[in-house]
Amino acid sequence: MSHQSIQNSKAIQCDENIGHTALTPSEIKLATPSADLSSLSKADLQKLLTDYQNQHLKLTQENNALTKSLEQYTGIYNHSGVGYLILDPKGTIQNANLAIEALLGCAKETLQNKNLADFVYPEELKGFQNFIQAATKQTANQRFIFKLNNPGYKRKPHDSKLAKNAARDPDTPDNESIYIECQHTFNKNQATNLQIHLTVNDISEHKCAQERINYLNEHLHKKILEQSGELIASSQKLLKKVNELNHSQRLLQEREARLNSIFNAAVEGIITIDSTGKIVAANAAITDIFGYSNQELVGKSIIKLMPRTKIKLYARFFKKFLTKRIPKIIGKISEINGEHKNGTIIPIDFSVSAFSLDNESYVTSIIRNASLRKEQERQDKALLDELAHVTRLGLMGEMASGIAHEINQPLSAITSYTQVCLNFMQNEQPDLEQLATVLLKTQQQALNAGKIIHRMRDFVKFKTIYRSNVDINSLIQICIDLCDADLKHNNIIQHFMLADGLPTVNVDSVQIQQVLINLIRNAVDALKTMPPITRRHLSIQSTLNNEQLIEIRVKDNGPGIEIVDQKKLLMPFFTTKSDGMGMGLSICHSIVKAHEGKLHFNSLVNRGTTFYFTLPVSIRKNHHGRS
Amino acid sequence: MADHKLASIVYLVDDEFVMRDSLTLLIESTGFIVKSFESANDFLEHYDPNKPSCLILDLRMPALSGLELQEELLRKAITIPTIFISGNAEIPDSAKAFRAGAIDFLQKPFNHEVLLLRIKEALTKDRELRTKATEMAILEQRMNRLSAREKQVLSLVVSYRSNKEIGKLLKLSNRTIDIYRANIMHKMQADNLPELVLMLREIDHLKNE
Repeated sequence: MSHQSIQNSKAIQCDENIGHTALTPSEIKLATPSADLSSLSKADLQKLLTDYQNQHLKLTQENNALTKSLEQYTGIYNHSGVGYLILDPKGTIQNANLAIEALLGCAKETLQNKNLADFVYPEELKGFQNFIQAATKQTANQRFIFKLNNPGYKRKPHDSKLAKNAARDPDTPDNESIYIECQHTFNKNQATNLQIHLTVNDISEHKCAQERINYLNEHLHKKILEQSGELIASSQKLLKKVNELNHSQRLLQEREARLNSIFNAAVEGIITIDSTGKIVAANAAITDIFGYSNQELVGKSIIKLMPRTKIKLYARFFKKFLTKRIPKIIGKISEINGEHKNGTIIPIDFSVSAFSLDNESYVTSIIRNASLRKEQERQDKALLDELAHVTRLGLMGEMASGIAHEINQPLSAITSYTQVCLNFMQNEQPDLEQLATVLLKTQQQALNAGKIIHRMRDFVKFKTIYRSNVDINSLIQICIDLCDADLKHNNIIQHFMLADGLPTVNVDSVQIQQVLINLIRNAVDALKTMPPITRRHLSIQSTLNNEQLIEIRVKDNGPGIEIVDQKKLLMPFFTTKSDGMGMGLSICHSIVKAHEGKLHFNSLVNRGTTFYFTLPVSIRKNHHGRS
Repeated sequence: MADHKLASIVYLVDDEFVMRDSLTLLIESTGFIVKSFESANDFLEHYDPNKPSCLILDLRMPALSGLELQEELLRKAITIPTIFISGNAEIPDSAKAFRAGAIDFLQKPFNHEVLLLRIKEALTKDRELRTKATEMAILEQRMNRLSAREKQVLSLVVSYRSNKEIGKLLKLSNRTIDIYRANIMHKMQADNLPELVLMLREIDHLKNE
């Protein structure tokens, strides 16, 4: 059968050769069937013979070439890696090459007259038959892939790698199956010959690879799905983040808007300066306080808002302030003077905070016009002073009998001494030395009485309060002098623990005396209620405490204060005394507070009470006129 | 008078040095002997009951006050005449002092003449008290010599009962009453009935004081 196909191809080649060779006229003559050899001359015959011989030689040459070519093709046909099959219309094998033998695991001889269908996997038989049918109709090229039913064919070793991979994965296709691809070639020349020419390929590997690719694709797909799941999750997170960011941005905007409105609506002036003291921003309240418009301020030095008369001082102070003092005063309220556009000096309270932006540091200051506060403070103070004075008068009234006694004492002594002198003088030769001694004593007593009256007058005089630096111990002494009679009258034993060398306090002496006297008298009143047998002690102590404050303690061993009363003790109009107004301690509290001190007490029922108050040590006034 | 001054002591108790100093000088300048003390207890330690004396006492003192000292003296039956002095005298205090037998209650500053007068009064009173105390002692001594029956008769005699009536009451004869009466007159050293009556009144009077 292969001969035929070879013949076919040879014929094609021959046709071509013939086409290329031009025919001679003798040839034409010879070819003519009606030609008569006899009519030919010897020469012509000779020529014709020569021609024939030439022709024969040529044909032999060509035949040789063809045979050679046929051998070549047969070799190619038989040894080609691609299988070739020729079937009759029923599918019976008529011819096969070596590749087919190998593929189907059958010798060529046994293959002959076997139907190809025998080799097809039973389940695919129907498809195969359709394929053969289609092939016989010769309408077009057909292609069919089937699985070998009974492969007698071993895999090539280079497949081991694939096989190994496959072994690991149960999903990989069966390696032992062999898939065959049959390609039917539609041949126009064979149109009438009912032969089916098939090109057969082992596509197992290809299929295996294909399936593997499919499998891997699936895997990939799964992976991609997984990955995309993760991606979706993270993108959702991202989205959430973005939403959050949007939200916070909105909040930020809201805040900024709010801050802006606060900035401009604030009653307090807000001003921002850079590190050189140049004004960067100022709000509306600044204009109210200083009278300058925003345009007049932004870009100008902060010095513009300071008193002109002290400009140099402030400039120097401010430089130092900007570099060194800012960290110390952050969060604190400081007092300073500013100057209005019209030249008025305005007391201002200010607090600062610092911030940095792009390596540039800024200071923001909140400024409050303190004139009102100062005025309020002045009024409060005036009220307190007045109230203190009124209560002081009351206190003096309560103390009158004691003080009368205090004055009586020296007066009695004076009358006695003077009488003594008179008696001495009645002698004929009075002892002048003795007389002088007694007169000196008289004088001393008169001075004592005067001193007490002086103190009493000072105590009740309503003078404009002025503070001076005084020694607290001397104030304590004055108070003791005024209360002495009361203390003695009530058999109270006095103890003093006054620290030496205490720094002075800057106070209104009279008001602090009032506090002391109040506390002493309270102690006396408490001690009075004790039965006469008990020893009544009053101790007064002055110290410089750990906080560098002067602390004064007035302690008694009286009946103590009931816990219920303790809470109300410092409130106005609270009193435990039948004839008390309830103003004493309340005023003391206010006075001490006005002196930047604190008034406290400890009390234990049946053990006694200690009142203590602190006063700041006086400070020298600093260079810019404020302490 | 000068003799009295020398013999008598003016005690002064005041916690104030100035008061002690000025008063001591003043009282001494008038010729009295003054002993001053800072506290009531000091005074109690140094008080000499055998010497005629008076006491100038400050009302207000730490520890023992003037009134408390007065009470203490009464408790100890010390009858020293006392003049209170005070810086700020209060009526309840002065009343209490007077009830307890104070000579006076002087308010500082006081007129020195009044003080001296009161000192003299006090010393006179002290002298009187001392005399009376002596008389009382003598009379009591005489009374103690009487028997129970004699004392019975005496109480009837001084209530001006006649011998007859006494005899009837005690169921004794007139004669016996006469003897008792004579014994009584003798023991009591009375010259006549009125003198005896005076003696008994004196005893009653002193006892009541």
